Amino acid sequence: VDHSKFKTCDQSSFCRRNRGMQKGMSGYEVIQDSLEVTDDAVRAMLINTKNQVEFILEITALDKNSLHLVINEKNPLHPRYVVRDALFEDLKTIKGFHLESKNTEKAVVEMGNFHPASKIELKFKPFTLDLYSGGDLVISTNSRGLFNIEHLREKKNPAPAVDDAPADSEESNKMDSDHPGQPDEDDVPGMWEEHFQSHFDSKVRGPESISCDFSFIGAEEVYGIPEHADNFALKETKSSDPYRLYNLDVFEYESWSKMALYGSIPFVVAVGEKRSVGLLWLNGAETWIDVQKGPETAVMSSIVNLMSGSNRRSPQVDTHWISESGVIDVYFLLGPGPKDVMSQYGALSGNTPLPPHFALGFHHSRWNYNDENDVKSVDSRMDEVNFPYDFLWLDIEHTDGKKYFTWDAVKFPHPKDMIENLVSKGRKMVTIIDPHIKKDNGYFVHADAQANDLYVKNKDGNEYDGWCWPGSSGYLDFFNPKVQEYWSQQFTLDKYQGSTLDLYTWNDMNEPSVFNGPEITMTKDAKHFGGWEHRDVHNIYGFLHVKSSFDGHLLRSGGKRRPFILTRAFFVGSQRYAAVWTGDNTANWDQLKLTIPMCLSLSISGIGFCGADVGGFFQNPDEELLIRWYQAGAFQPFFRVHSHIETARREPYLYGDETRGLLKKAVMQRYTFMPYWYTLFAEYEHTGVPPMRPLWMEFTADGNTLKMDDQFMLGSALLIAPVLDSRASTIDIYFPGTDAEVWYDIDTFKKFAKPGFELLGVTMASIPVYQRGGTIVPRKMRARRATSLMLNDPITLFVALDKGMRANGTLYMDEGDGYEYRNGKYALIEFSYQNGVLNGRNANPSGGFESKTWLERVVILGMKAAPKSASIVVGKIEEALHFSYDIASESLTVRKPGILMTTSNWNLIIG
Amino acid sequence: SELDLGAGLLIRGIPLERAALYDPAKDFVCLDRSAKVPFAFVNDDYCDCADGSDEPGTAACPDTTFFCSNAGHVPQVIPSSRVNDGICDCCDTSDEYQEGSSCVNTCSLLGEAAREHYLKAMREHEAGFKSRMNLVGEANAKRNELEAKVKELKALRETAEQEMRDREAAKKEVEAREAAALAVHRQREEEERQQRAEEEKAKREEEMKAVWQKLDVDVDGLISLAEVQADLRLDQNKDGVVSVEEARFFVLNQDSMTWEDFSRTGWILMRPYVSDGARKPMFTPPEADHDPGWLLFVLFAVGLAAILFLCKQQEEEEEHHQQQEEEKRELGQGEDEHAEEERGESEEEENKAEDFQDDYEDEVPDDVPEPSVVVDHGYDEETQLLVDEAEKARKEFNEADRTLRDLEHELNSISATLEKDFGPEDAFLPLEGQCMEHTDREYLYKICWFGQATQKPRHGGGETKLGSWKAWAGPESNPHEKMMFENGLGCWNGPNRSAHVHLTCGKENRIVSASEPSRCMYHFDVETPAMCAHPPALPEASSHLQWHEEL
Repeated sequence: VDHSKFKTCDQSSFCRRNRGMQKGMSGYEVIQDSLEVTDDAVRAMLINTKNQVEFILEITALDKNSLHLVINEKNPLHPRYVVRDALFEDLKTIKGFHLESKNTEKAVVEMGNFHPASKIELKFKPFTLDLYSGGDLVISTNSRGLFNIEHLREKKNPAPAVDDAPADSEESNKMDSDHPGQPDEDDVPGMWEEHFQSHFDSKVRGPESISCDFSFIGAEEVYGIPEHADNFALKETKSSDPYRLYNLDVFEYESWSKMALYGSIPFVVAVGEKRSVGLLWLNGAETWIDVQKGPETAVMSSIVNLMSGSNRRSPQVDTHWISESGVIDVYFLLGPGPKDVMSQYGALSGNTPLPPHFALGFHHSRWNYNDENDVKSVDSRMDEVNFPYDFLWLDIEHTDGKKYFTWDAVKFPHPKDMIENLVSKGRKMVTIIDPHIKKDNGYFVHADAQANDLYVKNKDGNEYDGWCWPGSSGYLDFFNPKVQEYWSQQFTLDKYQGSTLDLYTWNDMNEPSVFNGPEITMTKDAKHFGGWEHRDVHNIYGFLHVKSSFDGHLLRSGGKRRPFILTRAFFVGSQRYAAVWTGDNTANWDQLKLTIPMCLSLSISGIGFCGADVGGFFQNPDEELLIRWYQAGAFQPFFRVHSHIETARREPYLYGDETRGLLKKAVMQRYTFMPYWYTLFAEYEHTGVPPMRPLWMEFTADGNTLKMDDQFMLGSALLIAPVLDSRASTIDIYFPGTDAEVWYDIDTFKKFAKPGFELLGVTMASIPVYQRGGTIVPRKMRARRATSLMLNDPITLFVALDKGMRANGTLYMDEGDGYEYRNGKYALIEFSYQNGVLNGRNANPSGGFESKTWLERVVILGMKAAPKSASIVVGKIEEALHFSYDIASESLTVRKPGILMTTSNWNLIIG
Repeated sequence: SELDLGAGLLIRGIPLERAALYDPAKDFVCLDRSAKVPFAFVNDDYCDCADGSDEPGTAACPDTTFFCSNAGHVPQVIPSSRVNDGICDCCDTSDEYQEGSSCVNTCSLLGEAAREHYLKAMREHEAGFKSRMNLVGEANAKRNELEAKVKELKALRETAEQEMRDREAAKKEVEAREAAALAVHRQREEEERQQRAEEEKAKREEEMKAVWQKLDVDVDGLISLAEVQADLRLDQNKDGVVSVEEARFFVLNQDSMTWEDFSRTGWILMRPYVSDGARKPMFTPPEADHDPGWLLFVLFAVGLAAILFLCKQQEEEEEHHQQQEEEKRELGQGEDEHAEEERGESEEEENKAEDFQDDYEDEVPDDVPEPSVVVDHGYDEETQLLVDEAEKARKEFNEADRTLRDLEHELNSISATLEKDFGPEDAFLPLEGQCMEHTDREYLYKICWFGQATQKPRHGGGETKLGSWKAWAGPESNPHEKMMFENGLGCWNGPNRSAHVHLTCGKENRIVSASEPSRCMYHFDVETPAMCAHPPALPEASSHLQWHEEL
C-alpha cells in the first residue's frame, strides 16, 4: 500500500479539529426547563454555552432493549444530512418512558419495558447521558466532554484563510456582530477548503462535523467498526491514528492496520463479564474512532481498590467518534447478552435473508476466464478430476470494453449456451457489474444516463468525470430513486442480453473507486440527488448500488428466485442485499490469519455472509498456503477462490494428486456440512445471530476468549481452529468454557473434556474442527459435484453427548431457492437426545414442504458402552435397526433408520 | 436394485465379468474383507463396506465408481457420486434410475457419432502414422549422415590439430629469433638515443658557453648588471636600452651571477633573446608557414586512420564471431555449460552478458591477427625480414587455430544434436529447425521445434519471444507429449513469458490452438505425426461386438 495516497487524521481537517479538542471543554448544557418526558420520548434542548447555538435532543425506544438518540441543530442554516435507507424499514418504536426524578443537576427517566429494566440519567451541566441496565451504569455519553457539533454558518467575507494561513480573529469578531446570538468559534485552517496532494476540496458549506464520546462501563473489549485488516478486539489508539471508516479501494492493503478499507459499519459491540451492549453511530460521512481502555480515573480507582482490598479495577472502554457531517444519530443496544445485541442490531438494520442454498457452496473465480472455451475447459477439467464446485465467476474482461451488462462478442459470443452448460451440471455463473459507466456514446447505459440525468454531478453541476477500468467514466447517482429503478431494470432478461436466471451478480469497485480521485475515490464536493454533497453520503454509495442490483434480481424473476450478489463496499444494512468479501487481499500467511478477525468483525456487524479470496488475490500462494486457505475457507460463510490477472492459474486440477486431494477434501468437508450451514443461515434470518461467531458469543463467561483471533464458532455446535501457520506440526487449541464442556474431534471422534489450551499434532490434511458435547449436527455425507445436486440426499445426524448424556439440534430444509419458505413451506426439525432416546419432531408440520431426504445414519459420540438394541419408532410402528459400536472412539453408528426427515415425530430408541 | 437381463442377475453398477463376485445365495463379503453383510445389503443405498464394494450401484459410498455398459456406445465408469444426482451421465440412463428421472437413452445416437468420429480420427492417425514412418526414416538417415559427418570432422580435426601444433612450433621458433633480433635492435636504438642525447647536451653547453663568453666582457667569472645592460639583445621592451630592472631580471635579481647561476637559470631566461636557434620568444603564436600544430595535425590524422582501420578489422572479426554464436544458438548448443546456464537467465540479462563480453573483446581481441599495415619501425633489413617472417608465422598459426576451433564447434554442435532426446525412434529429429505458424484474432504465433516460440500482433508491432525450447515436460509415462519453452520476454510486474506445447497425433505438423491461460503463460495444442507412435488402436470398447462389426 502507498500510505501517501491516504489521509491521516491530521490531514483530514475535521478529524484534526475534533481530536485536538480538550477533554471536558465542549461546553454543552441541557436547558433545564426544556426537558419533556412523555410515554414515547424524552426531549430536551441543548445549548452550546460558548456561542449560544441551540440543539434539539430526542430519545426514543425500540423493541427491544434499544434506545435511539438524535441531536440536531434547532435552526440549522440548511438541513443536515440524516441517513435514510440503511435501517430496516419497519422499525417499531415502543412506549414506556417515565420520569422518575428531577432536580437542578439531573433528571432520571425509567424505561420500564426493557429487560432488565433500564434507566436514563440526563445530567444538565455539562450535558451527560448515562444509561443504566439492571441497576448498572453501562454506557456513558459525553462523560469525557468531547461532544461537539459544528453548527452550520455563513461563509465570511473576504474569503477565509487558506489551509496553512492563520485565522484572522478580528474577522470573526466582525462576523459575530452580523449574526447576533450565533457567535462563531475562530476559524481554523481547513474549515472552508482543503487540499490533499493535488486534490482540492471546495467546502462551500464550511465546517459541519460532529463528535461525541461514549464510555462502555464494565466492558473488557470492544469489537466491530469494519472494515480494517486488523485484530478482532479493537486496539487502543493513543499512540496511533484512530480507526477510520471511509470506503476506499486500497491497493495491496496492509496486514494489521487501522487504515480504512472498502466498507464501513459504524457499529461496536462492547463485551464485559456481566453483559454486552452495542452502539450504532448512524452516519454515512467519513468517520474516525478513537479507542482507549479506561477508566481514565484509573489511579483513583486503584487507590479505592487498594483500600477495599480488591486488585481488580472495574474495566471500561472509552470511544470517541468523529464524523465530517450529519447529525448525532445513535442507537444504544442494551443486550444484555451478546446474542441479544445481535438480535437487536438485526431488528435495527435488517437480517441477512436466507441465500439460495447453492450460494453456500464452493465458488471458483479468477480475473479472468478468458473466453467460452476457457470456461468450458475449466468446467470439464474440474469434472475430470471429480472436483466439486458450484459457481464459476467472470471478472471485468468478459465485457465489451468494460461496459457492464454487455459481453465481448468474440470471446463470449454465446453466453446463454455457456451458462446453460454449467447449469446442466447443477452449477451457476456470476458476472461482474460495477457502478462506473464508460463514457462511450455507443453504450446504452451511458446514453440513458445522459438522456435522463442519472449521473453524479461535480460541484459546478456538470457531469462528474472519473477514471476507472473503462477510462473516462460517469458514476450513476444511486441516491436518485430514478437511478435505483433504472439500474434494477437493467437486470431483466430482455434487457441484459445473454443473461439467464442462473446468472448472478458481483458488484465491485463501489466504494466508489475512482482511479484519479482523492484517495482513489470520488471528490467530496461532488453533488448527489437532493443537493447532498458526496461527503455526506460517501459510505452509503455502495450500499445503494447493491440494493438496486438486489431489486433488479427480484425484478427479473418476478420475485420468484432469491438474489445472490457479492459486494466489496458496504454500509449498515448491506446484509439485506449482498454477501461481502474482504476485497483484494494478498497470498501470504498474515492475510490468511486476517480472514478470521475480518469476517468476525463483519459478522458481529450484521454481515454474516462473509469470506475472503481463498489463496489471496495478489501474488501466488504456494501449495501449502493454498491448502491451508481452502481448509480455513471451507468453514467460513462465503467460500470463493479468486486471483489477480497477473497470477498463475490455481484451478485445483493443475496440482498433483496429493495437493489436489487435500483441496478436494476441504471442499467435500464443506459440502457434507451443507445442511448445517443452511440451517444456520435460516436461523440467522430470524435471530440475527451470525453463523460465524466469536467464541465469546457462545462462552460469555470465559474471559480467555476475548482476544481470540484464530478460532471461532460455527453456530453453537462447532469449534473451528484452522491451521494458519506455515510448516505447522502442532496447533494449540483452546477449548472454551468450563469443566461441564466436552468436545469431539469431528474426524476421529476423540473426546476432549478439559477446558483450556491443548497442544495437538497436525498434518497437511488436518482441519481441526470440534463438535461441542450437547449438540446434534445434521450432515450429508455424499458430497456431489455441486451442492444443488445434494438437496434430496439423505442425512446423517452426529449426536455429540454432553456430560449428562444429552444433546439437541435442529435441521432446516426448504426448496433451496425462492420465497415459498416465507409462506411456511419449510421443515424445521428439532432433535433432542436424552435417556437413550433420540426424538425428531418437525416443528412446522403444516408447512406443506415435502422432501425425499431421509435419515441415513445416526452417529452418537460419547457413548460409553455398546447398546443391546436400536429401533426406530414412528407412531405405533417400531422397526429394529442394525448398529455398530466402536469401543475405541466410544461411538455408536445406527444403520439406516430410513424415515423421511419431514416425518412429523419419531423416536430412535437405543436399548 | 437388480436388473434381470435374461442372462442372469446383473448387479447394478458393475460390468458383467465381475458379476460372479456378487452371489445372491450367500452373505456378501466386502471385497476388502472388511465385513460380511446379508446379501440384501448389496446396493441397498447404505454403505457397509470400507471399500464401498457393497454399493457399486448407488451413491452411498464415497470414492467409489459406477459402471454403465452403454450398449451401442462405449461403456463408462463414473464416480458413484454421480448416481441419481439428477444429471444424465450414462447414455443408457443407468446412473439415473430413481423415480422421476427424465433421462433418455442416447447411446445409439452417441455411438453413431462416436464411431464416425473414431473412424475419422483413425484415418487421421493412420495418415499420421505413415508420416511418422517417413520421419523416422528421415531421422535415421539424418542421424547416419550426422554420425558420418562426425567421423569426417574428427579426422579433419586430427589433421588440423597437427597443423596447428606445427604452426605453433614454427611460430615459436621464428618468434624467438625475432625477439632476439628485436632485442639487439632495441639495444642499438637505445645506444643511439643516448648518443644523441649526449650530443645535444654538448651542443647546448657550447652555445651557453659562447653566450657567457660574449657577456662576460671583463672575464671575471661573473656577469654583472652592467655587462647585461651592454647587450642590447636583452632589451625586453625594445626601448633601445637595457634598463637596470631588465638586467636584474636576467641576473636573478642580484648584482651579478656566477656560471653556476647562469647555467642553471640565467641562461634559460636569456635564451629566447640571445640564442641563435631561437630568436623568437618562447611562446609565439603559430604562423602559417612552419606551425608545429600542422605537424601535430598530420600525425593525428595518420594515427586516426590507423585506429579506424584497426577498429574495422575488429568489427569484421566480431561479426564473424557473432555469426558463429548465432549458428551455435540455433543449433541449441552453447559453447560450454556455463554459456548454456547464462541463457537460462532472463533475456535481458543474457543480452547484458553478451554486451559485456563484446566490450571485453573490444579491448582484448581474442584471435585477431595483428594488423598487416606496414609500420616503419626503422628496423634494419635483417631485423625487418625476421619480423616479417614472424608475422607470417603468426598469421599461419592463427589460421590453423581458427580452422581447428571451427571444426570443434561444428563437432560439438553435431554431437549435441546427436545426444539430444528426439523421442522414440528419433521421430522428432527431422523437425529440428522447422517452424509452424498459427493465426488467431490478434496474433501470429510461431513455434520452431527445439527453437523459439514467438507471438506477433497481426495489426502491426514487433515480435515477442514467448520462450526458447527448454525440455520435454510430459508425464513420466509419456514425456514427449509436452514441450516447455522458457525465458521469453519478461512481463511487466510478472514472470518471463513461457509456453507449454501439448502434442497429439495428427497427420501434419500444425498448431491447433493458442491461448494464454495465465498472464504470460501460453498454452499451445499442436498436432504432429511424430506423436503417432503406434498404429491406430481400437477404443476401450473393443470387446464390444458392434465395434468389430463396424471395423
